[in-house]
Amino acid sequence: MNARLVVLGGWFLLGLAACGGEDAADDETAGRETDVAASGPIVVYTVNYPLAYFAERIGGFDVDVRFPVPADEDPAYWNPTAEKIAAFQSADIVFLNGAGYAGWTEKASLPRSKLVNTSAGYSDRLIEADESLVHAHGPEGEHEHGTLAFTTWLDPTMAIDQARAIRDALAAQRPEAEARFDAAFTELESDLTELDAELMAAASALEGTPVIGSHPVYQYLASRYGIDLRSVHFEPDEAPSDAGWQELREMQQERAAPVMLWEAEPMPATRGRLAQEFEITSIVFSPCANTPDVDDYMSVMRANAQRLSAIAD
Amino acid sequence: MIGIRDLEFAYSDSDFRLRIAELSVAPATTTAFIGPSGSGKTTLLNLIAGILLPDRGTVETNGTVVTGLSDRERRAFRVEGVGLVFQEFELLEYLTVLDNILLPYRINPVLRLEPDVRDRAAGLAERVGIADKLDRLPRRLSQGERQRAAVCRAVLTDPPLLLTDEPTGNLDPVNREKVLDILFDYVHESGTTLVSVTHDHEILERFEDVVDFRSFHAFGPSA
Amino acid sequence: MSGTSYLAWRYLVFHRWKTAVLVTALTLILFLPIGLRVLVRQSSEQLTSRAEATPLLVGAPGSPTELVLNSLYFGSDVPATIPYTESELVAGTGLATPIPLYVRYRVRDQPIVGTTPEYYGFRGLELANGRLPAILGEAVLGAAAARALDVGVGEHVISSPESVFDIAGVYPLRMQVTGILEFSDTPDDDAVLVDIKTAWVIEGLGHGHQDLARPEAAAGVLRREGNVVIGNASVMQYNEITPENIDSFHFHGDPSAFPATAVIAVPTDDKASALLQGRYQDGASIQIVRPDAVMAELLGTVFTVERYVVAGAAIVGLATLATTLLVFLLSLRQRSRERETLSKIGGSPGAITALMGSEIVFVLALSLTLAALLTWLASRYGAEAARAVVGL
Repeated sequence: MNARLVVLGGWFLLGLAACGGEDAADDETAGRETDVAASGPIVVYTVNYPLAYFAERIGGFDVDVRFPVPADEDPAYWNPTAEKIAAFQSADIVFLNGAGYAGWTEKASLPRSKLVNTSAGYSDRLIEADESLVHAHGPEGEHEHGTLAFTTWLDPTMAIDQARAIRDALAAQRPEAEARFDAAFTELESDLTELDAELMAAASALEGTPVIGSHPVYQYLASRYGIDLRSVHFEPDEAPSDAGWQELREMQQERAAPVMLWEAEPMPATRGRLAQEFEITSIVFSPCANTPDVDDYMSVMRANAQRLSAIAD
Repeated sequence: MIGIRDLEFAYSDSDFRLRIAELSVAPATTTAFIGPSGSGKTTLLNLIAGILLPDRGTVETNGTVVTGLSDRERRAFRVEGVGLVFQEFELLEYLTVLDNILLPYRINPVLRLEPDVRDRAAGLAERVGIADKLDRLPRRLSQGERQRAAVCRAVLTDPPLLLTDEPTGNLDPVNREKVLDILFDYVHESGTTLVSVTHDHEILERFEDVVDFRSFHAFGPSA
Repeated sequence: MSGTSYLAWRYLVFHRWKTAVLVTALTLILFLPIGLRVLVRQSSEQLTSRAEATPLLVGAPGSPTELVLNSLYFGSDVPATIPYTESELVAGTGLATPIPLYVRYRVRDQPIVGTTPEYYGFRGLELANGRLPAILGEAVLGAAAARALDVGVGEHVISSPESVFDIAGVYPLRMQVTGILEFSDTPDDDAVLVDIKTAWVIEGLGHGHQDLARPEAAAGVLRREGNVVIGNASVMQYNEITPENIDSFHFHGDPSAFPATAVIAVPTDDKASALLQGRYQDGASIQIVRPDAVMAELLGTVFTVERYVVAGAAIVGLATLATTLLVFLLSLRQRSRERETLSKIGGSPGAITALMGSEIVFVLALSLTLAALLTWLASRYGAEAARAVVGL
């Protein structure tokens, strides 16, 4: 009789503990939901897709991330309408890429207090784009600065810095959720570090091999992984001009590169001619500046790394 | 019309004293008061009208013992029953001729300004020859026209007694005759009693009676 | 109209000039001290509330009054400028939100206020129609500015040259009006509000022109040095920013060095305000002021002057009252014969007194009414008029 009571009592206590645990978990979720419900999600606008991806990963349900650039436009050269600019004006935070990305932001009227330049923390690591033509007024006149390369997120270590800037801005906006943002950032940082390792492995196999970029968008990739890269100005969906082929020819004569990186799948004719006339293998390395049709930034970048690896093999 | 008995009056600030044992004026007659200046002619007019009260005696005007009335009663009596014409016309410079004629109806609540009063005023003005000047201010009228307007004002209430103090004193001979004609035509038509103070002997023959103030016991510098 | 009222009215009409002079004199002595007080109080309330709504102002060393008058009331005296980076520095402290201002240029008599979008929320400005500026070259007008310039949404305004003789100076910029603000009864009603970058374009720090790298622009090229194309003086600059040419607009130089006339600093709390003021305490290259303190000092002087003026007006008023009384007494004396006539022909004492007294009563009543009306007008429109006169 006593033993049965003890066992029953034990089961009873265990049951209580279990219920209490579940309640605690429910309380925490409810607490989070109450936080967000009370003040609503932080409305975040970004100028490119990678920043939107980072913001979503870090912010979770605390943020409402909006990236209004149409899928078929290059966000770097997008010219928004006044209505779209008004939407940016209404954001709680606007994440800028920095390095002169999205020139429209220089000519738009945006609230300074809401702008976060995600590259501000490492401006000394920004790369000047070569070959840019600048102008001046008069011999002693004002000079225009050279433009900077701006596809910073192609270097995962820089992407981590940008993500960190996003985490800091979200935590400043909503301190009570800082722990959540921290945890999510740590996960993202781990993923990006893994990606960095994959790209490093793929690139190390290419060591010493000259590479051509179809467009000057791979500077940060080249810089991070020590890739010997020079660029032309080929569009994947357009046949290169005669002058373009001539430029490539001259470049190949100086140093013959067996690999060309493309932002998207080139036209078969172009791929064929590159292979036959120049012995160049084309591979797609998508900069992922805009929202991909399928998957996300991480998947696209991993796929990029895999294709790079395959070539090296 | 007028009956005066044992009247004594003196101004407080002068030596002048008027004493009349008995005087009467018959109704519907014309009487002139003559005498030297300071003999009390205007004073008696004022006593008859109830403007002044005697120290002693009685003044009866048109059946009313004026000396027995209160101030308010005397004013009411005066505004309805006595028409006054002054030597200096005494028109108000800021009123039109018509408004001057209608003046009695605006200054005492016993009289009410009805439309027929305006018609009567217009009729009187027509009669005396100033109908085309009703909307003018007095300064734009000649002396004669002003006195004619004053006469209209005096007779507008159709008073039984008309008291005039040197009515032609400030008029040239032509206008003097015109105004006198108007006065006498009016009193003869209406049966109004006219008492007029004058020192102009040339007009005395027009009056039925003449009262010479030298016959009264009046004391003072000119008595 | 009753008998005596009519007679009184005719008297006043006949003596209308005398009546008018008396009414004017009495109205003025009644209104001046009260009206002045109402005007000063109202103006000071408006000025004070504007100053109290602006916590801190950062600017170049110099007259705090000039800084406050230019930044809050858009006065035409432009203080020395500070570099735009001071706004970023304020943001960097984390103690306050900065709102930079560049108030220098005008569209005719209306001040152009170059600022950032935070300004509209800070000042509680609402749109009556249209939208706020989105890109360079757009402007939103205060209600009074729109009326004065006679423009509506979709039309244009042009910045005025600073000096008609300065032919090498600032180019007029044609700006599109995107919106008009609701009336706010503040100096913002008179303003043409633009992004601060647009003000820099007016200054000439930014401009747009043909791409000198293109073959079509060959006539504008002086020579090339390496990758630098040097343009000659014939390069024509656009005087309006349109969707077609906006891509060509750019700034030369470092924007952090571009000018601002002031930075409004909105601290997060009182402690942050004290900390921020402490940082700028030495005031060597920059000063921080509290607009409410500056205005209080300025208004203190105004109130002192007001007291003297009111005292002076009171003395003059007494003298005027005495003179008016004399005029009334003389008038009464002048009418003694009229009183006698009226009494003789049977006028009641009440009517005669009413007639004699009507002049005084009417003049007093009309003067009081006019003084009350003027006081109401002063309370309703006085502050606006004072601002227009003072040029704020």
